[in-house]
Amino acid sequence: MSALAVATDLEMGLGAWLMLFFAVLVLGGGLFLSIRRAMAVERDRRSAEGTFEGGDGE
Amino acid sequence: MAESRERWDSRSAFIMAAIGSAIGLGNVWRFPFVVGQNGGGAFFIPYFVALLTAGVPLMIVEYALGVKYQGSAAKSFRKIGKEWEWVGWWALMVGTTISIYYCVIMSWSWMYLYRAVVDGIFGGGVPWQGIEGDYFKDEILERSSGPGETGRILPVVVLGLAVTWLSIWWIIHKGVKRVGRIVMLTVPLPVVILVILFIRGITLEGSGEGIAYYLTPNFDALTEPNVWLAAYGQIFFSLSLGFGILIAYASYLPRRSDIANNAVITSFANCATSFFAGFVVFSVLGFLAHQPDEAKTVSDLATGGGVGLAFEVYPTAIGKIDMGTTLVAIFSALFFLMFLALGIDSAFSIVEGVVTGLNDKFQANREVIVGGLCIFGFIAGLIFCTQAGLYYLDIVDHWMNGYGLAAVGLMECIVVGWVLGSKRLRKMFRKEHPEMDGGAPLCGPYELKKYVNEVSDFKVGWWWDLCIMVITPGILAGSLVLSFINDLTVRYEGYPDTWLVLCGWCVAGGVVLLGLMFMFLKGRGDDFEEEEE
Repeated sequence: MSALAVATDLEMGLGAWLMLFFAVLVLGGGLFLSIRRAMAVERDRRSAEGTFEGGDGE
Repeated sequence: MAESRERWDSRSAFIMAAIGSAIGLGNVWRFPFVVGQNGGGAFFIPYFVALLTAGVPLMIVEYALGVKYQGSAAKSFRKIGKEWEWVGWWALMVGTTISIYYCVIMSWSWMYLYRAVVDGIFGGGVPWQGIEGDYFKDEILERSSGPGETGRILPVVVLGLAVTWLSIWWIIHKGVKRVGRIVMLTVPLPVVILVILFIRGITLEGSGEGIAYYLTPNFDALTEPNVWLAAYGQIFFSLSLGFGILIAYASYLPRRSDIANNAVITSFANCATSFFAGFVVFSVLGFLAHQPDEAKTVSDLATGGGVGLAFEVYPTAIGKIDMGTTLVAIFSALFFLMFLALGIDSAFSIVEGVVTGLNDKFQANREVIVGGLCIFGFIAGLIFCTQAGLYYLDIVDHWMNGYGLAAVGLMECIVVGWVLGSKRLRKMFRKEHPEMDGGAPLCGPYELKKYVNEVSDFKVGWWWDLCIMVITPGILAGSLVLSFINDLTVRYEGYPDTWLVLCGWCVAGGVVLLGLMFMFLKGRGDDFEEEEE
């Protein structure tokens, strides 16, 4: 049985699909935003360190 | 002058180690079962509420204690006030107890993996395929009739236990730098295997029935208080809170490290893994329930969760897939390899928490502490390697989870929410309002919040105070009271009172006494006042 056949054959009601969407949105969204924030902060920190190290003359 | 503290190689090493600690066996065998029993898809609503109001706030507390005080749970609480050191030791003693039987569960996994590879891939097939009776309880554990009949020690389980403790010793005896490298393998590996099992699972006949059972919401369940308590319990137990692990891990971060965002990443990664594992488990349960010779429904098969789901139901289900004995063996081996990878980083993180505690207090040779603790854990674990080991494990686990972790979490909230910062607030209030003659109108997690907001990627606000001071301790206290009433009125699993008292109440009480005893022991690391704050 193929995955596509399972997906189209899933006898789930609207409620189940909504909960699936809700859970993916909350968990995926939360994880994505927090990692993106961490990466942005790290990038800023590294560029600030680079400026400091190479910017003695400023 | 204090020696400089060891550090993680990078922020990602720390995050991976914390995620590895949080993601454990419970994500696979407990979460899907709890969801199925508490309203299906509707359970995600209280689960996410619990994640945001208890999981993330309490994880911020543990990270903040570790980063700010640069010490284990015991040292951190001692820095808050000498009279609170026992709370930290209590957490570490609960962790020690849990690690003793957790390693025995891993020993069973080693045995299954060995059988899957040797008998399955290189032999004629996995031994649990197509047999009548209970392979796990009859063949592996040779289970006795009850806790009163201890029986003999099972050499094969002891061998698996020795391998587990040797692995833990090898990973942590050199310090957290090696841990940081190991988790780069042990955290992604189970996720990759979950993906493989997921693809195999959802392509089985009947898997849709299992997934539908997992996700279909029963919104009426949201009106039941037990469902909400189950959600808070699941969040609390699955995030490695209350063990002192996260405090120890965070103590190896530099003082100016992020706290709040790391807590969000760790807890969301843990919950996402649990959610995904639910598909893997329920797709296979749906397949099993779909078999003509299977009289049970998905709901019946999922009932009980835990050990039975992992070592009986799931291997049986894989054994029934029509794909040849070699592939059955490969998928069985993958499942137990995943189990070992999930378990090993949780197990060594618990031991690392205790090692950090002992090292901070007694400042002895790390390798000696790790070696001694591993030998102690191995010897203490032998009781769970007997024919009655499963009964003892079940009772100790019930009391440690129901009382040990919950009570430690409650004390953490009380100390951080109501004790820490209250002195500073009183002093400030006296200065600003001398006419009030020193009366303190409120106290709160002032100190810690100030610190968290100074170093974190984002700031925590009033909601964090509310969660730490009211919501989380309230839920944990309610859960403790309900568990207490329940255990006094209903005999847990029908076990004899003698064993419930011995393995349950005595062990739970014993860890508190051990916590107090360690507080009164004098260690070289107690004189930290000279260290810079």
